[in-house]
Amino acid sequence: MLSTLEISCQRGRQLLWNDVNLTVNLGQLLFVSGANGSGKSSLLRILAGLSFANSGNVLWCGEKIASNTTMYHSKLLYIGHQPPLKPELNAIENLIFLTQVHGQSVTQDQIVSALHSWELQGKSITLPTKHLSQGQKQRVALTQLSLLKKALWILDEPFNSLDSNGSNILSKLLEDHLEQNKLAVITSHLHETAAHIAPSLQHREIRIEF
Amino acid sequence: MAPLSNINILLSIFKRDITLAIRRSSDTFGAIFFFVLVVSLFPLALGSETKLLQQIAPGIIWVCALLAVMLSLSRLFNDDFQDGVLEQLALSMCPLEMITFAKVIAHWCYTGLILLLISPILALQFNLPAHSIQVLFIALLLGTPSLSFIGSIGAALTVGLKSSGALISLLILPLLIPVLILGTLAVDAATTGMHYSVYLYLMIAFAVLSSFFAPIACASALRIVLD
Repeated sequence: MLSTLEISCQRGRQLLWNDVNLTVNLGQLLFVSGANGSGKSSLLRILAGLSFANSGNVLWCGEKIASNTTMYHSKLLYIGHQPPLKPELNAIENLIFLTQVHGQSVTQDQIVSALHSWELQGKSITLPTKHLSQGQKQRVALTQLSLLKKALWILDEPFNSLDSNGSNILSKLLEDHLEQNKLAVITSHLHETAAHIAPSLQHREIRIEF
Repeated sequence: MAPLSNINILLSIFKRDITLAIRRSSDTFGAIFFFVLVVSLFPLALGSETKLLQQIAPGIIWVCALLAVMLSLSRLFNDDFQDGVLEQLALSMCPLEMITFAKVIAHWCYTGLILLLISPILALQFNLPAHSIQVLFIALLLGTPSLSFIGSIGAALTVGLKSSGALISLLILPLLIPVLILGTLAVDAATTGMHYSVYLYLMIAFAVLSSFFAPIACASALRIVLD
């Protein structure tokens, strides 16, 4: 479903990696590992279509993603290493905005119950997000995973700053997502393999190491 | 869950930008206060010579409006870039060109529109005749959208830079000279009793062209920044 054809990535004059050929099929998880600065985030941004590879193509269902960006964006949810929240808005307002930007209208009740499932309630969802801790912000950002029904998740270090409860919720969501024959691409320096996230992910994992 | 149309997406971006402008009012209205204060300093400094004040009023009000808009531009895209929201906007189903259009319209509402609304009161300090104040109002109504649209190109090109304010002014002020000249000429013509409509038509043309081309330029600049 998601595949790459000999993509390479150059930052400045330095060639980070080249000739990467990958195929992620339905129900599979691409686990990207590597040292800091080895180009993990760059790969994720290229797969999301935010950055462009120096050569090669990224294909979704055999079609170049650049040729039909609207369709590709409607399938994709990308969350970078920073939670995309406005500090002046509270969690609910932020999520209403983010879901609308992704073209879906979600009611406030749905958002509140999704936030509950991430163990966020009371003040943490009504205060402007500038007052939240890093872990809480990450939880708010990840609530998009439960709200938006997207076929492809691209998550850059989603386990960062989550506590063990938060990590469990995310692992569970990832398992459910892949169970429904959808795709995910993640990086995590806290886990060596996808099996460390959840044992059931082992047979769904494709690994790439830089 | 019903998919939203592009119009709804743009409306929600517009509403969010207005909400944010209200919540960080000290920043938003800083530019407005700058405009009010600087314009008011001139009559105080130059004394009460009616003729002189009437002559310089259009120029001063236009220059101050220009600078006030420049002041407010640096945050237009930079905030969204810093907190990662710009990436989400770029990944929206709605084209980035249309999104920048909505953001610039919102920017005009919390700067240009407010400048325009208080300008008649400021114009009274210069003893401008009522007819000229009307023309000044119309000229600002037609000219300030161009300031926001052309200024947005500078804001998009300088996203991510630390001291973007000065650079935006350097890049954009030369491009805004036509608006400045047309705007002051229109008011001067009204004060001296000549035909001013030609200047207003030219300003409309300027606004239409900039509102069409500036979002395209902005979106390209933002894509380069995100790459």
